[in-house]
Amino acid sequence: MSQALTRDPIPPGTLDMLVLRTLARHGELHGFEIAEAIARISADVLQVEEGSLYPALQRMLLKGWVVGEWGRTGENRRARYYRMTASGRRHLERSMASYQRVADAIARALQPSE
Amino acid sequence: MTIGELVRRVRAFLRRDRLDEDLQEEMRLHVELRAQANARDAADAAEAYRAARVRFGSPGAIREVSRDFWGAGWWDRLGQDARYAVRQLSRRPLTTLVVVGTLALGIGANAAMFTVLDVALFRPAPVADPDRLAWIVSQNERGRIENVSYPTFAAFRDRVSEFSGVLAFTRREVSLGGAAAERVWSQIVSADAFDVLGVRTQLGRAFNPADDQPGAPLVAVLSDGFWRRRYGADPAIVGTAVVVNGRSFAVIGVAPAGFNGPELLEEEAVGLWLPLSAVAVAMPGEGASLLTDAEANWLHVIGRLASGATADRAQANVEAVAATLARPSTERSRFLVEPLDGGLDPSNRREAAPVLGVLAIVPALVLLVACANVANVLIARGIDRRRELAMRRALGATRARLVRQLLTEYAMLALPAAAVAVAFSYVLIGAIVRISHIPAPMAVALTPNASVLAATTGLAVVAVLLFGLAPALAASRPALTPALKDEGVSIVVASRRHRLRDAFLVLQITVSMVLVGLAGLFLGSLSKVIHVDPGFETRRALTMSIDLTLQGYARDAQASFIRRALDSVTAVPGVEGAAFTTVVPLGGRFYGTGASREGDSTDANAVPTGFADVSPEYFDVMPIPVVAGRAFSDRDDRSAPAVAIVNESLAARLWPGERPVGKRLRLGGPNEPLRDVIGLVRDSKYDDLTEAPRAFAYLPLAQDPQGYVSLVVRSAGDERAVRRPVQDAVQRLDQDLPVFNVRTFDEILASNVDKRRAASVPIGVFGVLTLLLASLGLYGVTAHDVTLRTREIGIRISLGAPSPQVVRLFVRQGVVLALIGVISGIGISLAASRIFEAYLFGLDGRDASTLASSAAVLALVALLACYLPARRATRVDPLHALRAD
Repeated sequence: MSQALTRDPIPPGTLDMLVLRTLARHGELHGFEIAEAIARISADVLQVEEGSLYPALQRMLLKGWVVGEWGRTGENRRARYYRMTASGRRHLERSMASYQRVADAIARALQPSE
Repeated sequence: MTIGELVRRVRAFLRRDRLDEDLQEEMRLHVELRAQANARDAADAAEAYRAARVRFGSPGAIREVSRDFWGAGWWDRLGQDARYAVRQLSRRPLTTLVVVGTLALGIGANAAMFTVLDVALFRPAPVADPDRLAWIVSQNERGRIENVSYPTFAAFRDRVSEFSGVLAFTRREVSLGGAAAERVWSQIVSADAFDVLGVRTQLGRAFNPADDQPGAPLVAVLSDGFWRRRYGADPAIVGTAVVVNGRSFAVIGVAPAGFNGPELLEEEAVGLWLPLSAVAVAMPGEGASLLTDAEANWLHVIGRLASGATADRAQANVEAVAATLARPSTERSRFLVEPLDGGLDPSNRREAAPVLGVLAIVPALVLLVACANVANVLIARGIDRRRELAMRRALGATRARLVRQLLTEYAMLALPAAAVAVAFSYVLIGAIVRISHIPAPMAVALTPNASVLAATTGLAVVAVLLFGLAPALAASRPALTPALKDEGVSIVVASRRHRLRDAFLVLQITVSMVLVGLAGLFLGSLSKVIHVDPGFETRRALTMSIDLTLQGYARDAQASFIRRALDSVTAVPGVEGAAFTTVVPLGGRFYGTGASREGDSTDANAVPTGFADVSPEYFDVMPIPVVAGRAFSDRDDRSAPAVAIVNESLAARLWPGERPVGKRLRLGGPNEPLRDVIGLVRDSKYDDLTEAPRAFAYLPLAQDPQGYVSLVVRSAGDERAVRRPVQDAVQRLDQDLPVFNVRTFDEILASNVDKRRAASVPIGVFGVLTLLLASLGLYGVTAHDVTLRTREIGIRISLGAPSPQVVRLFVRQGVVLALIGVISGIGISLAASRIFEAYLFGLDGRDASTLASSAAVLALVALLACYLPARRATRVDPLHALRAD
């Protein structure tokens, strides 16, 4: 599949992880809420074109990590609410673990020798 | 990819438009919510909205990426490619036409062959649930497929529980009396045959079990065709009577249109159906004992599998039942349950399948050559378009994208080609039916159906993609700079493309050589067959048959009828002579027996021989020369000593080196009389023009009266002029007696050659077609070469190269390729000669002169195909050429 949004500065796969993490914490959210939540967590360190969230959501829908259901916002507007599935949770755990290993390894490698 | 994901992806593809709408709504909401959030800080709403959109990114790009996830991206691009392809193709109508035409020829030939194969071997019969029907046949210890006896059939019908119904049938010609006596084909069937097949009559009823009881009233069901032809589709036909073999049968029903019984391989369409209880009438003489004789295997048997039953279990069940019968016939053979596919019964199927398989190779080879041609046209086109392709690559298109674009373009060629091919196949099938002796019901069934059309289209697409892949890869090969910089072909690129193109040319010539050689062999043996001397005079002669047994004539009445018929026929003006025989040479009937010398045992030393009962005039009328002794005379009747006349082959087998006249022989078993050999006649052809000289004996018809006899008539002038008068002369003696098989000997001869002609003529046509395609290919490639190298030629000419040298430049490479093709073609022909040898006559599969002359024809055509465009090169004006581009 094409990776058209290559200007995305965050590492590939990370966005999935961020989305899943957000959903794990908040339960059901629609796209805008997810984007806001990620922006809050990352404290704007990770610059994301907000739109790139949506293809990621589409792919995660196909992967079966999330399911989407149409509902109403507090202001009574139609929105699609995303929820993490069991398989999404497993994927999140796996990728967090592997991310952790990589991050630790990098951190060790970059540590100034004593 | 997990199953769940696959399902979600497929569903996403199917619902891609809906998903797109959802996505757009979602994105709209996002931008609006962001704008709302911005509005708190921003000066005005418009500015807030603009900022939200900037932060969001491009919705178009997002949709594009998402569509890829749904699998819709390639679909969109396919549409683009297809539109682009149509534009490209319509820009070069001539090339497009050539490619479509070439492909259509190759594919149409195959579609016609598919249809024949399909009808003969695969297409189910036009009955209810044909795939639940199965043949039950016996296979004897020599592997031959045989029919089943009535008692065995009855056992299967009553005791094989895997079948919900079992039917039996045979076919016979019967005499139909009344106003216009004629001979028609009937199927004699078990009472429940129509029920088992699931066929309903359009008028009246089919048979029921009461019709099948011995002594039941005689009843008949008419076929739709026969009802229309003979009775003008009389709606009140049910309840009337028809006279069959002199007995009155009540018509109880009319079968539906198009129904011809469970198989298609009949000589003629079925006229009527009779129940098995009427077998004694339908088959006088032998019929009476057939219902009780467990050793007479005369019935085709078909069973319908019960619901839940399988063919394997039915097979086991049938074998188990057969084992309990403990009859000689059931112990000698095994019983097989075989699917009812196509129009041939298992025995004919076994015989026809290999022949059809061999014949199917030929159109496949034509297609191969056509595809190679198309590939070369496409390669040439790729070279012509290299600038466009290079430009697109330079603009960022990947090679895969270009290959896909080109393949789409080629696939667009396949669709019109398939359509033209189907039309062509109709023409071809029509031609095959006309020139060959395909049984009428099968000829009617020979129309391409949906599966043939699907196979044809599939073949077209596969062929084009397969043969388009190499040209597409070649055309898209990255060679940017030279292509963009220079219109002349870079030498490197050209030579690499030449290798592929040359390979296709060699392939074409090779296949053409094989096919032309094959056509030479088949047409050569056809001509040999046509020129075989049958051993008698075929001009000014005609024949017709009568069957006195069917009409209920007793022996003495038969003899006197024959006498009277001869008298009245010879009295017809224009008739030179007439005789009766039981075997019209080459007429399709042949009787065989064993001949043994006096004193020899009849079984061990018997010489297999054919025989015929003839009236005394026979040898004069044919004429067949009597080389020793005398012909029969009127005095050789039942009161006189038994006599026989032998041909030279039989004499040589029985009494090598001795004079046969005066010796005695016995024909058949020990109960047959010893006969004095009174004459020796020349060998002639009896059953087939291609037969080797075979032993044959003649008996006087008066000493061995037969009901089924044929008249041979020699006319003074045109035999067709006396055809009607002679027929009338016989008919006048008995109005109810059908006179049938009225044929001139030229027609008989032609029908003997028909099957061979049916196989040879298409092979010849395909051979010429292939040669034409291959030479067009060679011509096209050379001509294209000349065009491409115009500048080079201009330089050569301006440097003083003489014309012959320029011509040689182009002819040489073509001729070298042709020679490689011819040599490899000869190699393949020699290696494959075995396959075709069985179908040849008078030539062996490696016939040197045929192969040599085919090779010469091919070489000559190849030379011409190179020379013509090459000559054009000499007319290049150097000034013009150098200024080109």
